[in-house]
Amino acid sequence: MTFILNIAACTCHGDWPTTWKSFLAGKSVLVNTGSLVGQGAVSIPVAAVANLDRVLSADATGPAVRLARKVAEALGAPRDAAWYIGSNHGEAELVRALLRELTKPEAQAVLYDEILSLDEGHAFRLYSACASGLSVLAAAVFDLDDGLHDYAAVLAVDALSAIETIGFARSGALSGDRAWPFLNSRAGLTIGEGAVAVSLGRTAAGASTEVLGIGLGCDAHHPTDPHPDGRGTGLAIQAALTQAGLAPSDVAAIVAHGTGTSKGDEAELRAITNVWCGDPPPVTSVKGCAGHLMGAAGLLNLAVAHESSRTGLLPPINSAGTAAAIAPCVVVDQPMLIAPGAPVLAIASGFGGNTVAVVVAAR
Amino acid sequence: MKEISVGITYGIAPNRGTSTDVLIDADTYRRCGLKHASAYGPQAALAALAATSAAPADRSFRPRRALLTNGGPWSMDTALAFLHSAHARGPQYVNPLQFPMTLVSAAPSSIAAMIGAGVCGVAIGHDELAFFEMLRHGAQLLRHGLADEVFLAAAVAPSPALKRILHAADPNAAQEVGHCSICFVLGTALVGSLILEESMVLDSEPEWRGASMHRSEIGVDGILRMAGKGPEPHRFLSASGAVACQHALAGSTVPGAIGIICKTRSKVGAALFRRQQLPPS
Repeated sequence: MTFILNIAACTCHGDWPTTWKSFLAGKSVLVNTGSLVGQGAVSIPVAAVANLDRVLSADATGPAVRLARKVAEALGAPRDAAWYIGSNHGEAELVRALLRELTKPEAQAVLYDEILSLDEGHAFRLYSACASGLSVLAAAVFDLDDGLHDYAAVLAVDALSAIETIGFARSGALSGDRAWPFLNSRAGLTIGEGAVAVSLGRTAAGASTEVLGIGLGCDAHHPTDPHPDGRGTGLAIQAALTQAGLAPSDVAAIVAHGTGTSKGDEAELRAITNVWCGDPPPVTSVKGCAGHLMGAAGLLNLAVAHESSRTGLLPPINSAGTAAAIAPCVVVDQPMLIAPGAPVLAIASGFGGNTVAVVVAAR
Repeated sequence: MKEISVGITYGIAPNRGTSTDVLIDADTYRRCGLKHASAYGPQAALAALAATSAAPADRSFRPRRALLTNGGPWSMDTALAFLHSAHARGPQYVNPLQFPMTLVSAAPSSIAAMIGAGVCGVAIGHDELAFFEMLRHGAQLLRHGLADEVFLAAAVAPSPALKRILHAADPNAAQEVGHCSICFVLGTALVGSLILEESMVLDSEPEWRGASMHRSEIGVDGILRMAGKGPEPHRFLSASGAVACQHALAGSTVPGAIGIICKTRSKVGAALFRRQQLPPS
């Protein structure tokens, strides 16, 4: 058995307790990219972390590393914890900084994602785009189940970068405002940034949440577009439920990937509806409030699932009274009450079709 | 617990673990079958060759098949070209098709689509011990019932950005980056003479830590010396473990245990295989 012992986060709203309160209120915080990502960037609304040092050349590291270190310290993991790290994009900016700063000794001593090392110890790294956070969580849970460690710390992080802002803008994938996941008014995603860390253990400590099951699935379809039926998502959900020993009807709520893109939301909801034979539990997404945290998005969803099971509250998608949801199961405008301690499912999907689904239940 | 059988195939035939005369050219990119392969880069092309060398002709969707590749700075050339284009000409002139390929995960997820891998297509690790992490994670997917077969496509190829980064890190290093294109297939339903017992990466003891960084002090060099073939002039970076395992396993045909250990500045990667004698059919 594996238990979530603690959670730390840093998002556009602040730390984890503040972020959770903002989710329950459906609050969104957006700023314009402006000078946040440096030369050549496009001007778009983003969910940026406030007061984050973004000067890339200062120490050959970057905002992604600073976010990671801040959250890792806040987590307070045991000293003998094994670290598992997932990220998406920020490393490209770091290499750009390295190549510009070749004469600096610290740049010469640093390679690629070595800078994500929190110390000289080993950290397992896995790359599956926006599913990275939950993918490394799966590896951590496996290692704990196998008895390799007693404690594990899982960290996922991504910071704003020129590549992602330009790339998503040029792909036409962005909403011109906040994202509206699963609503009729959805027009694309909102880029966000942040870091989320979770400490795991093999024994419960106080009020812990148990990780009941993990499932993986891959569309094997297209580099960016999901399979129209959400094939990989369906497989991941089924596998997670099977591992947890649960029937679909046992799940009280779903914290979906829900980016706010037309194809993505449709495919994900289709997969969910298929698994639940047309009668899914309440479904929500926090990307309207926090933006899309890219590599950290999945771990943020896990944090929401943990808190929802613990408190009996599922955050809403704030429609601001503007539009209806595309399905009756979508939770809009007001938090939904669920049974405290009931299983809640978290989902994360990434470019290329990798999906991870995790079922948790608070004790 | 079911035993994990291991099969090994090659995208490019190994030549003492390096193919010094390998040319990654337009023909290689076309032959590998990966769409827009030249935009992904040479390592992605070799990984695609490795994975397809092990996949059967029928590559329809397999919900219980997984693909893992080694991580590393493989997307750097595409990422840097993307940024250069944006800075030099303006964001509006950037080709949006290049955007997904700036991710480390782009190549494995696209190769997963080529071989119908329905469990995952992800990249693991970033340094010389990445392959030991791939072996471990692949075994976990099998043991935890998430997959029936796991393709481990290990590949490395030199690229312009990689050469600049390596030179910046250690200007005195004379070694060139080699080529590698190997696929290990793990499965619980396979019948084979080679079994994977265990693989892991651990922090090494403090007294093992040396001055150099990102160098395999015991690994390809050591194994080749023991085999009487002399030190290898090429580095294999995050495919080092695959090359070391391939050398060790190719050199052993008698039944028994085969252990491979690779060491970096602060970590140790170790894998244990067992070669067994199959009963006569």
